Amino acid sequence: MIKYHAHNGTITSVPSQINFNPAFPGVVQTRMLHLRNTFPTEGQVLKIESNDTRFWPVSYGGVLYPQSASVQVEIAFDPAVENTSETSQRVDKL
Amino acid sequence: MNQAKYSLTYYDFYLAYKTHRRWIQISAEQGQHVTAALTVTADIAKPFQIQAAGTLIMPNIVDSTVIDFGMIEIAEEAVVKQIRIRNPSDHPLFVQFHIGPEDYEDPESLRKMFERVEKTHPEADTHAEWKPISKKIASNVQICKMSIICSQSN
Repeated sequence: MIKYHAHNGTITSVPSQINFNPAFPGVVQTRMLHLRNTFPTEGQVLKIESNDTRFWPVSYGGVLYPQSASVQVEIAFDPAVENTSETSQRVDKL
Repeated sequence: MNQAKYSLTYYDFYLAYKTHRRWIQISAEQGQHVTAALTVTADIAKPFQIQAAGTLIMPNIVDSTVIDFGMIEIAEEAVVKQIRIRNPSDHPLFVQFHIGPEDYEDPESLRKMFERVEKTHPEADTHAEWKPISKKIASNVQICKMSIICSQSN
């Protein structure tokens, strides 16, 4: 017997886009965003990957509670980092 | 460059030129507007992307690039002007103050100028008059003032 549950919902970020101040090598900036879960069930962020090594997730974690923006994500931007095509996943998970 | 041949001052100018060239290279290769896509994977939904954007600028540590002493009469007392220097970075900033050529970004003009001085004073400490003033500025928008004196030479 196979059982499954299907729910309607999305996970979105607030804000939807992160804008950093004008930057130069020598300054590392960070921005915070929240992840909103509209599913009726709890969830968890498994990973956050960046396609540009100058941007990376500093921290994320916690439970995505239903109908709330419960997970904080901190994104960093360091222009001094050499941009490579490798996916950036430098994370200190909370 | 032949470091032994030229003075430390010339080497400092050369390093400043190299830093400037590096910035131009970064701007040319990576562009001034940078964007990234961060993919978020959760256990209850399909992965989705967050866009991140930033702009690269060349930092400026002084408010003005020109110090105008105006008209100064000969034999008048020395005129003192101050420049404000700020450090916008996360790291300590070491500033050296030189009186040098206007087109220091051109290595060829630098080389000619220093060769001319070396020929004029081959044995002396040729660049004593350009001895730099050094100052350390702590990180993050610390403002310090440096005084520049314009006076009649002996």
